[in-house]
Amino acid sequence: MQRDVVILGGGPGGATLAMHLLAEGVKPLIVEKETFPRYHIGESMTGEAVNVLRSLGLGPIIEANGHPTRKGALVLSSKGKNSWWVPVMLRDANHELVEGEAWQVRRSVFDQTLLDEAVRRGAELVKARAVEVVRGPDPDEVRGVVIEHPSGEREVVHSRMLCDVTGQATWLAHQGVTSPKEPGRYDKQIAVFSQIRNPVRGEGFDGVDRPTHPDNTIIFYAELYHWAWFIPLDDEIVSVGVVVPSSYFASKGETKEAFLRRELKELHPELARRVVDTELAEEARAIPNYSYFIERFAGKGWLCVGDTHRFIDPIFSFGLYLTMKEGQHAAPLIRRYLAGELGDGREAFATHTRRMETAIDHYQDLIDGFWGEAQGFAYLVNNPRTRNQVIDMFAGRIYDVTERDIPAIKEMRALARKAREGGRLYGEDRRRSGFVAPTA
Amino acid sequence: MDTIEQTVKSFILDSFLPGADPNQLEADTPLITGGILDSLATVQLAVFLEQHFKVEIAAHETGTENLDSLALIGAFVRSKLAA
Ligand SMILES: Cc1cc2nc3c(=O)[nH]c(=O)nc-3n(C[C@H](O)[C@H](O)[C@H](O)COP(=O)(O)OP(=O)(O)OC[C@H]3O[C@@H](n4cnc5c(N)ncnc54)[C@H](O)[C@@H]3O)c2cc1C
Repeated sequence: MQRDVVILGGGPGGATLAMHLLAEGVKPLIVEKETFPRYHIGESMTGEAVNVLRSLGLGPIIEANGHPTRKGALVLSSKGKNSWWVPVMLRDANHELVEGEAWQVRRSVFDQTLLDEAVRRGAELVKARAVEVVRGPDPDEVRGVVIEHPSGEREVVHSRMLCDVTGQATWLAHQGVTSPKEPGRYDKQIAVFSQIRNPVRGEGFDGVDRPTHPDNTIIFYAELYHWAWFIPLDDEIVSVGVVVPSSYFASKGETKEAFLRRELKELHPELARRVVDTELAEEARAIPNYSYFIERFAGKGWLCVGDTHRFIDPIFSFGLYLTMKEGQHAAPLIRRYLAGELGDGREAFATHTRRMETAIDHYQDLIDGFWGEAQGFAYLVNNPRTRNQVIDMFAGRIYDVTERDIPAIKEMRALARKAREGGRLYGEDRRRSGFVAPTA
Repeated sequence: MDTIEQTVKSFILDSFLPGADPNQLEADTPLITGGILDSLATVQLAVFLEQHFKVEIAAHETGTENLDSLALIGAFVRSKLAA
């Protein structure tokens, strides 16, 4: 077969990229190895993620799923003193901040809705596994992909643009097409997660004046790098996960399930109070070493989108947003590339990847500052001078913004530098230690 | 004590140590490491300094190196005002 655009991966990144391309008049082929619905982690999203979905006209069909909506995220430290509330806020037509809401999605349902809709709008979907890349004469060039159908039969699909949106599978990196996949700062962490039934939801807390909406995300943190999430998925079920250093997990010598059930009761008193029944409603799963980056993630005839080129840490629920936003940015470029307006595309896509990196760098700063300099971070979140700017960053307004638009970006960067130099963070992360040459 | 230190001292006494003996708060009394200011109080102090003295204090400057005593705070605010 021969297709202009082949998208590997039919998750939210692949499905929304397909819909952005369709809106540009480009009809892609999506290759997805799993039969949907399938389980996936990553259920809370930012305010701007909602905007990406709404811009695609997906508001009504997502609402029809009945996903709960959060009004914000409550971040609770173990000592209670360094706790804060980040509301979901949107910018209205006058650029004023107004309260918003963001969906909390059971991914099996959400991902299927998006993929079905992409197909309904004209994307072609094939259930197959990408197994081998087809290279061009130029070693950097990709000309297609070999896919394997469920029958075991293999087929070559030639493409003009191959988009890797395979998430943590980082498919093109494993094919040796990108520059090497390198460990990120939070590479030594493991996430262990499942779902529970009927925990206590939505009340306020002693000493913390908070909205009491039952469907908010709650983040509990204890020691450095030791935290848990609480994400309501419907009236009954709440997604819970515990993230810890892998060495700590290993030292416990427990099964995933036993580990999770014990941590739910020990990690944080407020979490323990909420979790009435530690019986798990889902298999306990784990993802280790989820933090990595790939420096060069576009080339002639290929592009990586979302998690597939960089993932820092899930603590502030940026993943879905980043993968969907990158697709939104990439779609018009891909159309122009196919129309022959961008030459061999290398220059245009290199510029694109630098834009994407700069945006994610803001999040790397935010996360490093949070872990390494909790005091300064609390000040940025609570200071009336910077509070709304931080809310903007949490919401996802990180693309093409400079210190002039959001002065707190500069402050966040200085704080992150102090955190990295202060020795409290995990050691090297080559990408953020200053000696990665910009990709040209 | 200089007026800056005096102003900050009054703020800390009023906000975080109501009823305490003012003489116990000396220029070199450790505020953060001594447990007088917790994390939230430290945030409030730094915001107060910004607003009262009309200086800008960056997040990375809100650690003990600048805020752990009245003397340190005085020197820090003076350096900001001079800049
Ligand atoms: C512990 C943890 C918690 C997280 N929590 C959040 C959160 O609360 N909020 C949030 O926004 N994000 C969260 N994330 C991140 C979120 O999961 C991802 O950012 C998001 O799923 C990325 O979407 P995607 O479509 O790019 O990739 P995915 O959703 O991973 O989809 C990739 C698709 O590619 C398919 N695929 C893979 N290999 C092949 C192949 N060879 N051939 C064909 N198909 C293939 C897979 O089957 C899959 O369907 C979390 C991540 C982790 C690790």
